[in-house]
Amino acid sequence: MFFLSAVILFPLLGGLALLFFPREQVRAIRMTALGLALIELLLVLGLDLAYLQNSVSLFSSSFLHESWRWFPDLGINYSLGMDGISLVLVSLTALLTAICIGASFRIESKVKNYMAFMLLFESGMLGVFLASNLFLFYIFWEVMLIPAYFLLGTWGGERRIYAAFKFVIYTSVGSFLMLVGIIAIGYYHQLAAVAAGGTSCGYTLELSQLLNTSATCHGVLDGTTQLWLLLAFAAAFAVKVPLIPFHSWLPDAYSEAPAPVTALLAGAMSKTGVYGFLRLCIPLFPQAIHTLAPYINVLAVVGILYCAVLALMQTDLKRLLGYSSISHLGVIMLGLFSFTAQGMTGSVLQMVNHGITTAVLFLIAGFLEYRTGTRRLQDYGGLAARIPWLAVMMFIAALSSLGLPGLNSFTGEFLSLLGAFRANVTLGVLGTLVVVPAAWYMLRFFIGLMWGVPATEGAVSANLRKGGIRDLSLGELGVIIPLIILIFYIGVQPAVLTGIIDPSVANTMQVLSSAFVK
Amino acid sequence: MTNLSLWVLLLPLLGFIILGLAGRFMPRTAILAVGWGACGLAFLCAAISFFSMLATPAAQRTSDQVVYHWISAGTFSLDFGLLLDPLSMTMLLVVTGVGLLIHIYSAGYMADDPSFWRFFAYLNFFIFAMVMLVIANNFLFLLVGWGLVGLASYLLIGFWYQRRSAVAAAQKAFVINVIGDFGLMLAIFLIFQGAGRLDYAGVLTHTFPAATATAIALLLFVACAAKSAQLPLYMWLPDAMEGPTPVSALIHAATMVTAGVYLVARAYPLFEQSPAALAVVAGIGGATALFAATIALFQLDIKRVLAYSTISQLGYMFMAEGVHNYSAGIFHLVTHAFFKALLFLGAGAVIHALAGEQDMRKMGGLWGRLRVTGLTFLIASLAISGIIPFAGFWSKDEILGSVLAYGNQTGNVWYYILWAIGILTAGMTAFYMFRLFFGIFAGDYRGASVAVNDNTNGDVEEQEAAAAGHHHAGPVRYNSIHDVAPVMSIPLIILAILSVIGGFIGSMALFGLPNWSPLANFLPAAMHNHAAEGSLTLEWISTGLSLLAGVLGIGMAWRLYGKGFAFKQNSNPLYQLVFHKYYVDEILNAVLIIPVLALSRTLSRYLEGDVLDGGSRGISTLFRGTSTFMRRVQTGYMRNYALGILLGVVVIIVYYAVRG
Repeated sequence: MFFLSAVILFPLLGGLALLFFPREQVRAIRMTALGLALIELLLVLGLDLAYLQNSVSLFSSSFLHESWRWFPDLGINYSLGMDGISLVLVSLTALLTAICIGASFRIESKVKNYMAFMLLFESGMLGVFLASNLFLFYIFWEVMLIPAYFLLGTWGGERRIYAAFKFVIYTSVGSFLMLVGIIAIGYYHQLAAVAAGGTSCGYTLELSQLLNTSATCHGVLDGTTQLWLLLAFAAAFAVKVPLIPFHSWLPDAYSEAPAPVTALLAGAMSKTGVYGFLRLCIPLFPQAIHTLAPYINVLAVVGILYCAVLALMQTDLKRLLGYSSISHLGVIMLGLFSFTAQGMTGSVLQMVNHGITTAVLFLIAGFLEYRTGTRRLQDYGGLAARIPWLAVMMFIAALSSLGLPGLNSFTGEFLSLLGAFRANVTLGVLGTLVVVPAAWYMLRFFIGLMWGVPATEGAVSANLRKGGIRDLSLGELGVIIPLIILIFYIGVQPAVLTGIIDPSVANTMQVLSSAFVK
Repeated sequence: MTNLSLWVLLLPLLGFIILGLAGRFMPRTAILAVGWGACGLAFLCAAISFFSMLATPAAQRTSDQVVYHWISAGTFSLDFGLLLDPLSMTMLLVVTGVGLLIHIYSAGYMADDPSFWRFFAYLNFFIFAMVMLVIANNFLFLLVGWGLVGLASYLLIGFWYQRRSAVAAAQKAFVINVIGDFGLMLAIFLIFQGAGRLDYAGVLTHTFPAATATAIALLLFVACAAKSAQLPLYMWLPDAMEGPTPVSALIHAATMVTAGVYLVARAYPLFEQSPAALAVVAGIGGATALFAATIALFQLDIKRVLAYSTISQLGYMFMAEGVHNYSAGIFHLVTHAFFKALLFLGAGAVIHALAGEQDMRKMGGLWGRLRVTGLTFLIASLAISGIIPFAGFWSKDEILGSVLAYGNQTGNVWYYILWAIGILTAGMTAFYMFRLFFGIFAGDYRGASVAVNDNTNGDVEEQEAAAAGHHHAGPVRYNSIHDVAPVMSIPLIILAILSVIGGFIGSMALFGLPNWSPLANFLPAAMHNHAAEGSLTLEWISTGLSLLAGVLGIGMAWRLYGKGFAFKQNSNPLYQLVFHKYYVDEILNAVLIIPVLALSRTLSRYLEGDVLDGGSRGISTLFRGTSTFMRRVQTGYMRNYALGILLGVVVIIVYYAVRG
């Protein structure tokens, strides 16, 4: 069956088809791109239903699994597979891409390329979440980088070139190390398998073979090898998440990219890093991960608090949200590396929640910048009376972001932190402490824009006087509302998602055996 | 037993949704129909459940119903459920009952506000959140309610969101309450780690190791201290008076701030496992009661006097709970809800009549103009001062009696001191309340003539922004002051009646005097009181002294202010210290807020900017430099390359020659 391939390739092919449109047909290009993204979303919904009907695991030979020989001598196959964790992230990506394309109708220059890149970006991310061969994973990983680079470098703000270069260099260094790691893991695995008695074992990069402990051709890597390989993989993922101190590219990239692109970078792409840790690092290096986990946890906690404190005094809307995003990703990492069922399920759940919430926040920042032409917080103030619906939507997203109980992010953060606390009380307490600065900077952000009296000088007041600041348009409402509904729905009914995530987490973590706390 | 608690929860939510989505377009009568209707029907459902509960034998008064499965992860699984028992029943009645009266009152108080609909939407939302808090059957949904009432409080304090002071107060309240949420979350983590579950039924019957029990109880109390404005987390409540006065009455006096008292009573089996934590509860309660009362002595803003008074009275409730008398704490919660709501609504009536004036120095002589308000305010003042037979007397007497009895039982001198603090605070309460009463109602009207240094902000833009809300719009002439309309005076009268008889009936209900069979032992039966039983002599001593303190306080206030309030500057440093609220806000600002913000700015500029960003630039500069240098090697001349190869070969040969 080609279901997974269809899901991955449809946006890519659609994007290519888009390139044949005449350049002037801007409206047709926009509508087609949106249509393609929506069809893709329907495909993914079909995938959701199919998965829920026949719950499959990652390597089961079901119709939700594909494997085609490619370069068998090099252990390279075109293999795809999925479980509940992939499912929720694929769904998130498809949803956010559709919404972000819908929110990009204000892009005026080179619309065709923009839309094609957005769709290519989607394909790259979906591939990362579905690949089950390391080489294929790497290819999708790089496919993701190219459109992101162009989207940022071509349609971004004033300092876009600087931001794009920084982004690419940070990411490439990590990717390169991961490539070395991928090549090496096949080699060392073969050595270990032969040493363990399998005489005719070949070189493989197939995840199912690397992880299949009962196969004849399975070898266990020794601790030192595991650690070096793990570090190579972790380099790529730590940059993408990002963990501090590998985050320096993020504030620039997030603030310079056009808002819908930032929403996609923060909402979906950042999850590929966490997914890499979850899908590859933990299962492939089950011993070494315990050596590295304490360091990752410390970096996560430092990042959580450090970025929350930084967010307090940011003066640029999108930079503030960027730091907030790093802080929240820290909670996700802390949950993941707690090696508890609560922490890891919470971590995956929170990836979805953070994707939704942060996308709303960045999109709204974009709506505001479009109206006022500025991202400086000091220029804003007292807009709630003028644009009440926008204020309400922003308030809901801000509450979600600060973890208000009853909304989506609370569910994921609560589970993540509960897991972190069970694993290590000190880290759990320090991680939980973030709720205080998070409330502080988020409310400061909301109040600074919406409450109080309008600023008397600056771009906003000039626009206000001209009557140029209007409330949400129908189109804007259309892209925001689905996410707002999800913010409430997941908050009230998280069992729908945890029911999908939890069994897959338990499956994936069997490799940790007793180190995994249920 | 008829249990309509789900309706009590959902009706206000429904009201909020309707008003939130459509209120903007609805006429005022429709807004009132929805707003009052939602709260009124919720009260009706609560009342029906209550009478049904009374008809049920005491042993079967607990109903724990699961609504739906909420979440699961590994061994952690949680359902949302409702727990209706005498404790949550009492709270439901107070929340919806007092809530309804304040909904009614608000129709008059907020009549001129352009955001009328928004006010009622928020009020309904608050009732929903508060009901969630008291009706949840597990700690996690307690936290949900806990967070949502905090949100309601934030929205209502910041209701006039264009006023800078209101905005700052709202933010402060929210953030300080999040500190409480932090404590509650940690307590929940510990509870799950210890008991493997979070529902009350499972947790409250679980025995924890002593150290864990103490940690859990203290963390829960952090949450209580934040929500119920106890030391050291009380600072937000006085500022919360920036909200409209009905909000102060409902949220910041009668209901939300008592959530901490509720939580201790709800989780009392946990507190029983930790004598140390209970001692902290009692100690913080006593210290807060005294501390806040001293500040209330010299305040000039009538709402601030009441705010500090609320903090002080909440301290009494914790004092009771700290000596194992949980039902006495809840009893005082109920009577306090009556008379403190009444005091705030009365203050609101005064502020309304004076077009937004809150400064006691510009009042006086209003007894002649505001009869209903004055009389009900007097009743409430007598009640809070603990004068027999008003409501406050019974509950306060019960608290002080059990503190003394506990001291006597344990022989611990600290509890005698705590009791003495309670008596002293009772005297101070009577004094500051009657200073307030005389200041508003006695003597001559000082509003039109006296020009006093205005201690509220006089920003021009702020006044423009507040033109819509109740903001001081200049002095009102004495003869044009009118008492409030029936929509506002009827809630005052009902609360006044409750402030007279509430304690008497409650006292019967709680302590099971014979021949009151339906209400007998309503709460204690549900809470297995562990309170110490004192001898009759001790009780008479306590009662006598607290009455004496109350009478003395009133007498002193009469001597000083009976002929009217006069503000005199006083340069005594002790007076200045108390007058400036011990400079707590200033200290907090200097040691916490300014340093954190400075840290944020510094990190942003240096660590993020110079070190990390600069570091990446540095690396790129390094590479550029290297490549610029290396480019020179590529000259394009064959002879240079040949020379290079030759040199390389020589180096290799030399290397091997030397190495042998």
